[in-house]
Amino acid sequence: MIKLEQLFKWYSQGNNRSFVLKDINLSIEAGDFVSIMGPSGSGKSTLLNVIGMLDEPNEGKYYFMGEDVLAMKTKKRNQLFQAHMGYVFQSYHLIDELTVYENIETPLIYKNLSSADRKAIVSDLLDRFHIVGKKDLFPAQLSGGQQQIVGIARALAGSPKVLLADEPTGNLNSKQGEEIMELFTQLNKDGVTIIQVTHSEKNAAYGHRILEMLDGQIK
Amino acid sequence: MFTGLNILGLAIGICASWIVFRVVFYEFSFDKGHPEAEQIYKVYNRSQHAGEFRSFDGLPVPIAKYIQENITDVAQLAPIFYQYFGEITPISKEKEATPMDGQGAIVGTLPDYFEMVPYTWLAGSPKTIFKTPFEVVLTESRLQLYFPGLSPQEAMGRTIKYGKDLYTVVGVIANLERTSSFIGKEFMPIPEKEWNNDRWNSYSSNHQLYVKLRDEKAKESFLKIANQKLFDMNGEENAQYNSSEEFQLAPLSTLHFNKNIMGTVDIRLLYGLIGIALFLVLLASINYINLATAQVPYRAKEIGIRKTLGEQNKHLTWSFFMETWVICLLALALAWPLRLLMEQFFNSYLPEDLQQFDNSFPIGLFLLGLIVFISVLSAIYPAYLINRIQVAEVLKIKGAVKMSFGSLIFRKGMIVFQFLIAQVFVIATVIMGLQLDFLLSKDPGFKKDAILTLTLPYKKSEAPDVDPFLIKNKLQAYKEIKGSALGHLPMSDIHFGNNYSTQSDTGKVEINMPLKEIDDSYVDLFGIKILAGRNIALSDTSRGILMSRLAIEKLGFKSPEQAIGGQVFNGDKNLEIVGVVEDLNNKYLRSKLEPLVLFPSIDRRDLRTLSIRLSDNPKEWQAGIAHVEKEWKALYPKATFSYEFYDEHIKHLYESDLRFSSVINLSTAITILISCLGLIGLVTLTTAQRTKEIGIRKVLGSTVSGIVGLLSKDYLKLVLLSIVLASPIAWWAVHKWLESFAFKIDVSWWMFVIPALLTLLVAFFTMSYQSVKAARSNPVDSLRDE
Repeated sequence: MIKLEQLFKWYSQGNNRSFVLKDINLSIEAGDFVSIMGPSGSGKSTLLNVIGMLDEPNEGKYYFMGEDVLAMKTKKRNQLFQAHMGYVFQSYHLIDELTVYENIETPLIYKNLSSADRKAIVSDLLDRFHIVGKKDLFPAQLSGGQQQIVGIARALAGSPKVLLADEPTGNLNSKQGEEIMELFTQLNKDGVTIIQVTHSEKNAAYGHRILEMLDGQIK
Repeated sequence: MFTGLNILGLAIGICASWIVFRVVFYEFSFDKGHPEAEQIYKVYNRSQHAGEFRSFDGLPVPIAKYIQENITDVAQLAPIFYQYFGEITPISKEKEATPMDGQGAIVGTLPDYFEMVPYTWLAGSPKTIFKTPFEVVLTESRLQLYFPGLSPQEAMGRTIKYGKDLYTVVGVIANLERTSSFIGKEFMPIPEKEWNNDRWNSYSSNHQLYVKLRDEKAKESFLKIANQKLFDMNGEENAQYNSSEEFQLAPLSTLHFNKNIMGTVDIRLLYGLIGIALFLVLLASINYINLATAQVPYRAKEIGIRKTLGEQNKHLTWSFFMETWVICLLALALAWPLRLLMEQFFNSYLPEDLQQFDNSFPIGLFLLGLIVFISVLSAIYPAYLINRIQVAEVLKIKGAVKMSFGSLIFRKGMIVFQFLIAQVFVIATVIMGLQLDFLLSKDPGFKKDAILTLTLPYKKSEAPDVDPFLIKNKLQAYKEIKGSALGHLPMSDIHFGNNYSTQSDTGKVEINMPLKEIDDSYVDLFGIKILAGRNIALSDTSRGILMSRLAIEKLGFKSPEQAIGGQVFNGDKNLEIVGVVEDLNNKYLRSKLEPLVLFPSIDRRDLRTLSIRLSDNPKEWQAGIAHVEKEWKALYPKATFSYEFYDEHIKHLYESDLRFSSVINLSTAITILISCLGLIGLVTLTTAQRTKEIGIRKVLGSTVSGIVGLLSKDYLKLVLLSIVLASPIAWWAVHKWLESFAFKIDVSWWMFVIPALLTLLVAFFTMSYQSVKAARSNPVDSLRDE
């Protein structure tokens, strides 16, 4: 499903290049659950961003569902990723001014779904994650764990094939973290490919596969 | 960048108030320093004819003598009877006397005048003057004109020949040291003949009158006696024409703004200027507040750290005020060259002798006050916000992103206010522009292009007694000149006025209407359309006249054809209408169409203006003008040759309107500029605060245009609100202005909608830089968790 070949990313400092990603070769199949680990600054978040096309590599090939992503026109690429990827962040990144319901609805608005369709999808998600009672609350009124659940619900609203999670439990206590990990396991069983970046060995163990990164390279 | 925006905005505000203060101070300084000024009045006449009121401060001559002899309550009587002399010859001991052209501002008056108007006497004394008829008091400037280099003391006793009479200099006074309505420069006793004149029904601006009454109560009795006399003299004649008249008193203290007096200043204009300046200062201050508040989050960290290091709130506030003060000073420094530039630009709009009166002290004081005012006004709110910064909070949060300071509603309110003012100006600009275009392009009823006008010399020294038809005939020889005509220009102030009457079965109709003296080529040259009858011939001078359509209608003729051969009386003169012409605009388009009489004339004194129609081909104009100059030089060797294009002359009629509109245009540009600066500040702030949200939305699939729309929408709503509020205000103001025109455009909805769209567009583009930048930024940067 995802294939990276000889991927490089660097920043130029004068004549020197400082590499963030160095010769990454990686292949991830549909239905996989991958954990990326490594110390701070090892490039794991960058790798995740590149996979999610929030960031572009300087060199290399990236195939997503058999298509050469870097050769695509920006608009088409955006459409492709919007349709198939969901993002979960360490600090949830909910929009403070919108309610739980509206937060989950936002990506659907950008997909130009009709309001009836949106309502059906959002209600379904609220149900599934047991947050129906909280739908009219604002993010600030929720605990961190609850906010992350909303974040995941929002990421799933577009029914993505791949869920990208950057330290999804980083701001949570261990009990809340466990809940999220169990949720991920369940989602994975339902067929969602999950790629997560984490510091925690325990959380990494939920994945089928662990990638260790150091200095921009996969060990 | 923000500091630059602030300084620019404030400099514009300061510069505007500076100029306005100078003008206002100048205008309000008039007529101060007279002893017991509250008892001094100018007498004017108020008349009523057919329900229309007119005021005029030119008076019948005998009123002065009558007051002197009959009204004891008058403490001082100061007539201003202007005297005119064709030639003035200062008699010099050293060299032969050479005559000079007559000067203006020569006033015949009584010794009382010098008690009413305080002058500095350089030689002589008000007590000893005007004992004999042929005495003159000169101002210093006139002394230097007549006797260059002579000291006031030496000038005493010198003689000057005014016309034919020799006058002795009995006093020299300093030039006017302050702004004043008393502008005479030479003073002499009123000639005996003029003093004893008894024509009560003749009014002229050459005869004006000031009185100083003994006390407040004297006002009533003064008016009663004077008006009784006026009624006794003119009442019968007035009743005949269904009109009435009376004298009124205009107090000296407000004389300069009294609209019943000629040449006074409309105080509403000054209030308008003060208003504009105030708005500009306010707008600039609002900007400062907006931009300074926008920066508070960015400075919060610095301030927080300074507070942890033990800086007192009081000190923090003080240093913020000082910062504002320094910025104001920089703005003042920039305002200085800006002001010189502006004054150059608006030179003709400023009072003529503004530069002569030194008022640097009050101006300095004003500027100091203004700066203090602006810095306090601008600094209070941001300083308050700075003091509210919670140290713990500031140091915990990274960047400016999450902080929100002060109420956004307050700042939004200020933006609405700024754009409201800007929009009023924008609408005013558009409508005034349309109206002036309309005036300049409207058909006045005659041809005005390719016409050259010359004023033939009339001063004795320049012009030998040359028949004006001589030059006219000479010009016929040139093919580049299509024709020429003599007589009072159409659409100009130059005309006479007279009463004309017709006698019919129903009775006598009498109308006062303007008349122009013309020659036989005039109608043809200006393309005036003859509706019936024929053009006048020079041989008609004894009886035949042309009348405009409106004139014959007013006199009771049913149609132009019927009017031909009609008898019209002017006093005991019997005239005959030989032709009727289409109405033409005699004055200018502020005024309504008036009836008009065209008189044939061969008199040199009437035919001082020569109009020349040049070839239709502009390339031949140069040659045409050269021929005119050649003939002019031959006939009038001593006079300088100068000409004016007639369409330029017409443009001059609207000069004050054009200038007013350029003031408004400039104000519009400034208010829009300042408002947009404010908008930039606010948008910069909110985009900074919404960076995270923008990032999230992009990750969730929003397009760049979606983000730009999201960011712009809120502010465009504010601007739209200002426009909605501004439109009725602008409509009212424009409506008032248009009322003064007899010919005007119809105000319609698109004149409001198009400026509104323009303003929205300008606002949108102003914001687009910030919002596009924000929308294009990489969400990874704004969403990084560290």
